[in-house]
Amino acid sequence: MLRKQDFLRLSPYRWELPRSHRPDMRVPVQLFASEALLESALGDASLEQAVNATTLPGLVGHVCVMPDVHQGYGFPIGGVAASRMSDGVVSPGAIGYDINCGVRLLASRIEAEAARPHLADLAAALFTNCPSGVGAKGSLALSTPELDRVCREGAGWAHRQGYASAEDLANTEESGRIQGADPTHVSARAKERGRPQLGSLGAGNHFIEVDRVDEVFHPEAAQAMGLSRGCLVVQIHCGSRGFGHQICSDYVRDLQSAVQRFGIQLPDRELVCAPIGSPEGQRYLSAMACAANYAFANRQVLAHHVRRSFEQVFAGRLRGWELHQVYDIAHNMGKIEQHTVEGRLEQVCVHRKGATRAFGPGFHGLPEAYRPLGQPVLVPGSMGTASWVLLGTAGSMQLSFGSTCHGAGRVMSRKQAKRSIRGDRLCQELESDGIRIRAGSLSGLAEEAPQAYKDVDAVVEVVTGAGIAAKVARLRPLVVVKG
Amino acid sequence: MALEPYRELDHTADLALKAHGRDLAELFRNAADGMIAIAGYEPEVGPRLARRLRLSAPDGETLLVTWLEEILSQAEAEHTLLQDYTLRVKNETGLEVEAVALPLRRIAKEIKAVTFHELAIRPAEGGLEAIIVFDV
Repeated sequence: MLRKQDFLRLSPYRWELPRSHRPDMRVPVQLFASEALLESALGDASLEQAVNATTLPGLVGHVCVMPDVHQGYGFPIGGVAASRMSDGVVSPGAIGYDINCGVRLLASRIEAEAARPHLADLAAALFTNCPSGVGAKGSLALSTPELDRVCREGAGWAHRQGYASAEDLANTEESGRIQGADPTHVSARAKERGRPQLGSLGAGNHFIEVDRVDEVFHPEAAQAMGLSRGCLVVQIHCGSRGFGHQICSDYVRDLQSAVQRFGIQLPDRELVCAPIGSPEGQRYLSAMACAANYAFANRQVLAHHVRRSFEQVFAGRLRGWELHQVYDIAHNMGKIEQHTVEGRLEQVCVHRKGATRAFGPGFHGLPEAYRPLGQPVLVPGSMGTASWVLLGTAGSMQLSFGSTCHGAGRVMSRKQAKRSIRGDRLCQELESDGIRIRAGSLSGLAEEAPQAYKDVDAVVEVVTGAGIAAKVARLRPLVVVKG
Repeated sequence: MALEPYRELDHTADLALKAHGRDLAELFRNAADGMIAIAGYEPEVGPRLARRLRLSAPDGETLLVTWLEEILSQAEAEHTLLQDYTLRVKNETGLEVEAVALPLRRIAKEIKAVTFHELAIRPAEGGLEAIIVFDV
């Protein structure tokens, strides 16, 4: 059982659990948190899971834990771990089932006040045009060869089909395509699940949200991103749907026997892994890239439907309804990146599960407009509370393998949320606060109530206070669409 | 006192249940019943198609995950719900299933995956138990 006194305070927002805490730890744990958020994290098994994650072979530096951490399965949600290419491992469970779950931000020049009379129509149009709900089929039915092309091309496939502009691709992490995707390493069952679902939102905590830019903290960055105070923006939060879930399930199951062959001892079978250079590790990485590319294409097709909805509602009524893409980021992904380890530049596999890449100024993979500033980071809150646009910093490169938080982080179990919150009442409360809600399920809505999450503002204070992100703008919700 | 077939447990972000059984076959059956109940899978009146499955895995836990995943993926990919299953477990590594597949009317909650997190089939009073965590 971990206690607060087990952690050394390195700075006001950074704590370390040393390797000496447990004999099988290979690296320390470093947690980004205020005192209150550390105490909150000790309330569930998330930090024990971070300790378990430190036992993965070939890790470098430390396992990072973000302030929005919560208990997951195997690896905590809000965890980051980097493994050496030469003797490190890749762990599907440390990336998660919803491979490349992420967030896309689109911005308009519509004044929120002018849009207010049309928001009910906008909510209805988004709910109609963007398929959502459990097992929802998307707007496209792909053949297997076409799905294989999505796997290889990612958002580039959507561009060829007319669902994306060149600017959209440039403003997407990895330009919307992870290299090395090989659809022959994806099971027939995964393809069966993936073919009908492209262009769908799904359910759970996934959403489309229309927000107003409430406050700008970094005018230069906001201008580069096209964010104006008082204007409408749209967040799309979803991932690789049943396709990614099946790929991760297949590899977590198949690698169970591989760890025995490689002689790897793990405290939790969900942390199952394979050496990065092994045939098993390479097969997983190429299948993971397929799911990641599917997710980039999925958010791109959904962005197309969001744009159609804006056109239907605002064209001819208001000016500036065209939506440009600010950025698209992944928060469940394994990436091969270069980081400074013990003073030397080294290639490592960075596992981010519920954590966002947050590269600082000067990174060559960023569009020219963002390069001097740093990578845009999108941090959605919970329905009814703020969301944040941040920037990656030089500090995130030094302290957290170029990573930062990904959201508010849950504190209340779904069972408890359902017991204590009624979906219909929540819906009324949010509507009375001026937030339009369209949800496929009221009980699903109750599980995602703002009370079930930490205070996203407190999370953002930690990451900015610790120097692993910088504030650009705060967003306030006006319309929430959920499956 | 009769064994509780399954019980939903609290989990911060995901879903978890504890299943019991006098033997592996009953444990697997109760785990499937529990998963179907907490996910709110509802069949529709329609053709009842006979299904036979043969699943194999290196150990009992992997076999349990494989079985539960089979139900999930059939529901999502084929929109059918396996019901009325008779299960035979062979040496903890083989599972024969005779079931009927019904058209699926509704899924209340999306389960993304059956995880191995802290999964162990353990002896318990009156038989066996396992805690299963689902990613949602």
